[in-house]
Amino acid sequence: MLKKRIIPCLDIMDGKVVKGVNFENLTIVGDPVEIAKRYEQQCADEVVFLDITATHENRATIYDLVERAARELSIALTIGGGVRTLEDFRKILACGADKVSINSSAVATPELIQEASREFGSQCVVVAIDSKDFEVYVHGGRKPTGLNVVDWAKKCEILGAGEILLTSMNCDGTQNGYDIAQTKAVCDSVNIPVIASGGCGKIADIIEVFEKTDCDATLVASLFHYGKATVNDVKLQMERNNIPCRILKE
Amino acid sequence: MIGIIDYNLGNIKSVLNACERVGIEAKLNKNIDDVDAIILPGVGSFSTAMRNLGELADKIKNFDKPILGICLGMQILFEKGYEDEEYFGLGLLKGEVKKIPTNKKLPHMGWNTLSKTQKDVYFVHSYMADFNEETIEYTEYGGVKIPAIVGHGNILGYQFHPEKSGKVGEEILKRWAKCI
Repeated sequence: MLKKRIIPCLDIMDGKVVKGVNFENLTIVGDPVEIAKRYEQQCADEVVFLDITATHENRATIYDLVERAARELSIALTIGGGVRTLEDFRKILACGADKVSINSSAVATPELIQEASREFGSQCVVVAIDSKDFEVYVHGGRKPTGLNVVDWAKKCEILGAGEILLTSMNCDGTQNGYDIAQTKAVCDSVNIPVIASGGCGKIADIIEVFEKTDCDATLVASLFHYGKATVNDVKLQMERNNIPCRILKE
Repeated sequence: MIGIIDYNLGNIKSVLNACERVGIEAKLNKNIDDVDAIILPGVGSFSTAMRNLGELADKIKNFDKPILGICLGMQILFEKGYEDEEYFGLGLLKGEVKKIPTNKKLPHMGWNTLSKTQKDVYFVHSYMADFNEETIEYTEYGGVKIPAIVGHGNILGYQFHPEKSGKVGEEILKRWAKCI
């Protein structure tokens, strides 16, 4: 049986993992590869690196980082943040990433989804969608687009997206649980995998979104980063609730 | 030395990385001379893979040492594929590659269980080989039995990605390399 996936997400700035609330008061917490390795050992199913490096000059650091991470990790790695062109895709994949996630650039140029999936295969094209009250936002959630999240997700699927990473801005940062309504609406209208994101504060939130929606994976950040739970803690709880998951067996 | 065939398809480096992690001697290669075995990696589409192989395809067909195909590299071991267009494969294994006949979500993406060993490995694909006498182990998705390990003789194929399947995948790669 196909397992539901738990995907830790690391925010990266200038090659380091950073923590902060709403991109403010960022503090460096460590080396992405070391932290990702730790999650891998805890049975993470994939890892996402989200590059939030602001300046263009420092963008090159992400390529070195992806190369190093790809050498060390034995699970799938997704890279997102600042990807705008087919050439960006090519570079990141050449460094050894398995998937690339695009957000604002997909809204600005939907053809990018199509071109990337034709060139590299739809399996590596993840479209990240930030949504508030069913409306799609871009530029880190600062700019409303007028697009309905369900319509946009459907369009992404038609254009060749392999997966949708849906972040609810209503819930992101609240730690009050995933957005069941928006996640369910998207899951019920597309036929590609959906990763639920935003709002996870405790293990029960992960159980809830798997039980109440048809999502395939959950993106988890602070729960793990602040040491409130390990990936394996989540898996054990999932198993108890009869949610199919991969458990460490020695 | 194992040659990982570099035929301009996505992410072949991850297979090399996995070999290096577990101490298998391998190199990326545009050719198949002077190697003891080859790995055909690959993500992308069937027809692109065959076109990119070009003249190398005939050499691979006549290669009598171990051949391991991974994911798309496994699919092109078969006779024919139907992704984007109908296209001939290497024909080293009997059967064809078609879209997974399910109404469930595609790609079939994530960790799924192998029928015999009951190990979980990582899959990402929307097309599958025929379930036939070449099937060694399968996995189940959306009511379909999907061949996961296929082959006979010197030919072996994995539909899943051992290089993305954690320790389990590394063990699977090591076991294959030991047989060379």
